[in-house]
This record gives sequence, C-alpha cells and structure tokens, in this order.
Amino acid sequence: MKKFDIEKNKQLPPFGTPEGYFENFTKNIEDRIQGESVPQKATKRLPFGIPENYFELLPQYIAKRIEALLPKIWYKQPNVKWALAGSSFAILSVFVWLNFFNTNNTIRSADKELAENLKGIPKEELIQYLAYHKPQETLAQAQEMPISQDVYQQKIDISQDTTIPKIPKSITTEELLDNELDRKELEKILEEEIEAEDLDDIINP
Amino acid sequence: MEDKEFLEKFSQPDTKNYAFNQMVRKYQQKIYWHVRKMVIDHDDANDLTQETFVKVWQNLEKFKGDSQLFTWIYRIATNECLTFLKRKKTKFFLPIGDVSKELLRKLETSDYISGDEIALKLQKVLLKLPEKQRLVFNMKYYDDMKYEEISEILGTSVGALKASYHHAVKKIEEYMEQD
Repeated sequence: MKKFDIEKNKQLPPFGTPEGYFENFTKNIEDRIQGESVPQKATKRLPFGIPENYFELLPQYIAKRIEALLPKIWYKQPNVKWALAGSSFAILSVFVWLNFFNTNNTIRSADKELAENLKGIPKEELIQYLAYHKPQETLAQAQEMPISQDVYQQKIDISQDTTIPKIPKSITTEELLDNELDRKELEKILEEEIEAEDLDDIINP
Repeated sequence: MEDKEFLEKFSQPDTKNYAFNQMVRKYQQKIYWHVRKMVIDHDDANDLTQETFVKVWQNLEKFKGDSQLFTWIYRIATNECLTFLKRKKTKFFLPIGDVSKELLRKLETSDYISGDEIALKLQKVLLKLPEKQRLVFNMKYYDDMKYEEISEILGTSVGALKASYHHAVKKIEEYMEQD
C-alpha cells in the first residue's frame, strides 16, 4: 500500500474558493459588521397592489372585528330591547286604562245620577235657576275655594250658553215689543186691562 | 399623537375607542406592508393585519411601555405571520420548500400583483430564503429599520441579525445573477 505523504500534499489543499474571495474578504467582513450593504440590481419597489380606499376602510373592518368580540350587554340585545319595549307599553296601557277609562266611567255614572235627579224638577224651574243663580254661585265658589281655571272657564261657558232662553224679571210693554211677542196677544192684554179699569169705575165710581 | 398620549387616552373609557382608532390609522400601513411581504396574498395580509390589531386591542392594557409601542405591534404582527406560515405547513403536511412554492404561486396568480418585473423578480428570489432571513431582510432593506429595533422585535442579537442580513444579501445577489 502506497503511503500518503502529508508533507508533500499540504501545499495542495483539495478545496476551492470563489473567484476574488480573498480580495473581497476584508470588504465582506466590513459589510457584515456594518450590515448596511444592499443587493445589486435590486429595487425597493414592491410588486403588490391593494383594493381602492383599502386603508380608509381598514379601521372600520378592525372595529367591527373587535365589536364582535366584546361581551354583549344583555339589555342591549335586539330581542331583549323589543321585549322591554313591549312590556313597558303593556304597563303603560294598563296604567292609562286604570286612570283614564275608569275615571271616565265614574264621570259617566255621576252624569247619569244627576240626570235622574234632574228629571223630577220641572224644566222651567231649572231654566230660572240657571238664569238667576249661576253667576252668584260661581263667584261664591271662587271665593270659598280655589277652582282650577278650567273648571271656572267651564262654568262661565255654561252661563254664556246661548241655547238657554233668558226670562226677564218683569216685562214692560217696551220689553215685550222688543222681545217680539205676538202683537195681537199684547193688544188683547191691553184691552182686558182697559176693560177691567172700566169695570172698576162702574163698581166704584 | 405620541405613544404616551395614545396609552393615556386608551386607558380612559371615554377616549379608548378614539385613541385606538388613531393608533390604527397611524400604524396600519406599516403593519400591512410588513405582513404582505411575508404572506404575499392580499386577503391573507388583510386578515392577519386585522388580527394583529385585534390582539393589540386585547393586550394593550398589559403593555408596560418597556419598548416602543411601534416595535410591540410589529412583534405581534411578526408572530401572526410566522404562525400563519407554520399553520400552512402543518395543515397540509408540507415541507418548507412547498410553502415557498405555494407563496410563489400566489405571487404569480393572486390579485393585486403589479407587473413591475424587477420588483417581482426580487420577491421570487426572496421566497428562496429561509423565513427568518427573509423577515430580517424585509425589515432592514424595505422598512429601513435599525438593527436595535429589529432585535427588539425578533429577540435576536444585533450581531446575529447583521450576519443574517449579510447572508441574505449575498444569496439574493447570487440568485439574481442566476435567474
């Protein structure tokens, strides 16, 4: 077996190096230390595009994603909102019914009772009562206790009701004429008075 | 708005949403492009950018201000990218080379890819590099980041980063010559 001569072969290593390796070695070390070299024939331009207005919309996409992750507050859920709205409406309806319709029924029954009581009183008396006593009563009530403006107004309105015929306290001839009573009836009354006067003259000359 | 102001406003319930919105507007482009260079496809980049900011929202109260807010967000984005690429490998039982092929295919077929030949060629060459080398190269070359900042983001020493970048540049030059 042939003996390998180390001394003879140490001048001829079996490894190769790239061209100009040792010439560029120092520069390579410097580049590596600095770390600032850039590749030849390269560009910093990127070959990528993006959809139109992408960066204007991106914060909204992110906000939506975060919103979806947030713990949902039970009373802000759509179903719960509607249920709450429905319950509130039902409670409000019952409240209104109790306070409005029931009060109305009470007023109606009071009206009925009053109408029953008034049935027994002759119409003429009622007309006279309203004609002569209304203003004084209203005033007295106003002095005795505070009455809301509405109630007071209501009473004034009733007294000013033109549908109620006004009966004068004493009727003079002129008033009768003014009130356009039947002229013939007036003449008849006057004749009767004249006749009566004549009869008195006859009885008591 | 400065980072300190962001954090102060974010800690107040009244101004939390406003501060976060401002922060998204300030950093969204940098983060998007950082992610896009790693995953190539717009839809993937869009998803990962959104996910990054969701994680920022969820964890910002824990941020102690030991580093810059910007590098902290970058770190989250980088983790998202690496996890995404790792998931691709494990999901489809792909070797590393096949993930690169998948990204290369996207580079050629995806929407929103321009026809800039030199830029496209560089991206194709970059896909031949190991992921972390590509990451370092992107941050240094495209984003002009300082090694100290990259070190903060990747948790690697400045010396190792410089070596990594240097190797990347050499390989890129070599591949650019070949193709």
